[in-house]
Amino acid sequence: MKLTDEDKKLLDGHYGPGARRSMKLLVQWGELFGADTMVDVDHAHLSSSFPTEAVKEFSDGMDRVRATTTLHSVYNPRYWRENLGIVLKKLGGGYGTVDENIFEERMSLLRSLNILPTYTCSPYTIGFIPKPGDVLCYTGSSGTILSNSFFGARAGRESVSTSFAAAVTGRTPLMGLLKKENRYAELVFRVDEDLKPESFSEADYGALGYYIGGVAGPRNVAIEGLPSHLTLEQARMLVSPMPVSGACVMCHVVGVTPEAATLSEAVGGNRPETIAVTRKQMRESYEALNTADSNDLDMVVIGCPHLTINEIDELASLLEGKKVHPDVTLAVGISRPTYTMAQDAGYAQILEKAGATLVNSCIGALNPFCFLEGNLRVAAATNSVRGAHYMQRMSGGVTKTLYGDIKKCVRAAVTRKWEA
Amino acid sequence: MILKGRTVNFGKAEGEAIVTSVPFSFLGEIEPSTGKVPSPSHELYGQSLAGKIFVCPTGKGSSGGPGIAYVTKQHGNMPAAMIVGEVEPVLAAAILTADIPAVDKLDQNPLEVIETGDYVKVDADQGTVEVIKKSAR
Repeated sequence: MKLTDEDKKLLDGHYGPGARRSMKLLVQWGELFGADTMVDVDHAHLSSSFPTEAVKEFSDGMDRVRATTTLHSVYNPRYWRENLGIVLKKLGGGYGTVDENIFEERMSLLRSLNILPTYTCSPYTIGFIPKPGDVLCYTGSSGTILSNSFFGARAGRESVSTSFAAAVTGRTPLMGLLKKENRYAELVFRVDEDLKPESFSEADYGALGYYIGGVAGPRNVAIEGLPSHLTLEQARMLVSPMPVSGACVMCHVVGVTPEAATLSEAVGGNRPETIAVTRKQMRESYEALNTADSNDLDMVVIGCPHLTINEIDELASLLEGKKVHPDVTLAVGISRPTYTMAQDAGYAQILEKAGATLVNSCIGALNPFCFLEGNLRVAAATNSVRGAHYMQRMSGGVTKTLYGDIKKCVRAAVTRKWEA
Repeated sequence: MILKGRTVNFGKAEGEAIVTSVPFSFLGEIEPSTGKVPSPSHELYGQSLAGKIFVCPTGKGSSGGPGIAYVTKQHGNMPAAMIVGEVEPVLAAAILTADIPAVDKLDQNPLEVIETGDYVKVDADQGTVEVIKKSAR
């Protein structure tokens, strides 16, 4: 690989052992995947699950990270104890720690490196907005696919260690989706006009994305036949399921994606197969997300990914003057900055008065209520595909899910009955 | 039998092979404190990868894998080396983050020529793998 003088200094240990370890990881990693050079990182977004010892090893000798760096959603055991009265003995899936001291020590270490404590899966909702061509090293697949597909930024298939090393050095190998030739669609989906995509609910967008991801696997896709005026909220409901049912992180929505004004622009020189999406596939997708045996439920989860202020406005409008059923937990995933805005706007007060629980900074679908023994006896309802998918799997199939749009979820939270 | 491939990460190790035919993720498919595969649905359920030469086709799944691999190494429970059909970015990152010797893209499919229980010597510096069949041991 061709390295700049500064790259060589990082690699030679001029900036200390942490920068050397980080740069060595990135160079070896890049060489495995055909990178010829390194490029500057515009924004790194990190998981707080990277172990404390690893954080120290990969940053040893650096006063601060070199890239603009934010943090993903967290499991914050102290916040849960103080604000929700929840103390957990363990968490599923190796995603975090229930030990307050381990958590606090790691967060203070990260802050000392000038890594911003944003604690959200959706940094683009709180001011970190990617622009076309930007190089992003994101942990978190929903932010990755949205950045590629909606903002036209360049985000590759990252991991906790490579994105951390990219933050430390401000560099990443030029490979994968950072290169234009690897971004073209390899599979095209054509949404049938009979489905009336003009009137899709957010749950319809999610079900469509869930189906497409499952077929695509790791391939880039293009979608034809959707309205060209997709909102940010609709676009992310559409694309964020794709990396969970498959491993797709590049979706060209023709007419929406900056580099896909037309289908031919989306496919480049490829000659991909086109698959028609009809009522049948939408129905199968809904069935996979609806595993509950009855229409009873214990929990409603909204906000995975974290809600935008527009979505909170909508939720507050639907819940205003109503009460969440006493036997239902309505958990809402939200970032702290958005929560503050929701308070200023009065939305948070409406939601809390109605009995909703706003869970700051946590992964929406895997909130502490999911791990609370005995809390979930029947089923959880959600308008989030990622929510339904992960709640089913992280519980080993124990958690049953009900999936539908936000209006249906709110009615279910109030009545404790899902409308079949 | 000597196989030749590509260096994924440098180093040498030898030991008993353990082989899986399905793509592997360190997140959820290894328990750091024991080195065992914890998921009942996995074909290696309950078996330990610690200190073994672990053979798998490729990686899959969550970007959290390299963190788990790092912790597993701290516990002393990582495989001694890995032989992979072909690495993808997250599995490669896990191998490099835990810093264990590894090779991929061998001149013969390792899943066909290596069986669980064979004795395997990995020289990742040279990109070579020597397989001593358990039947010959």
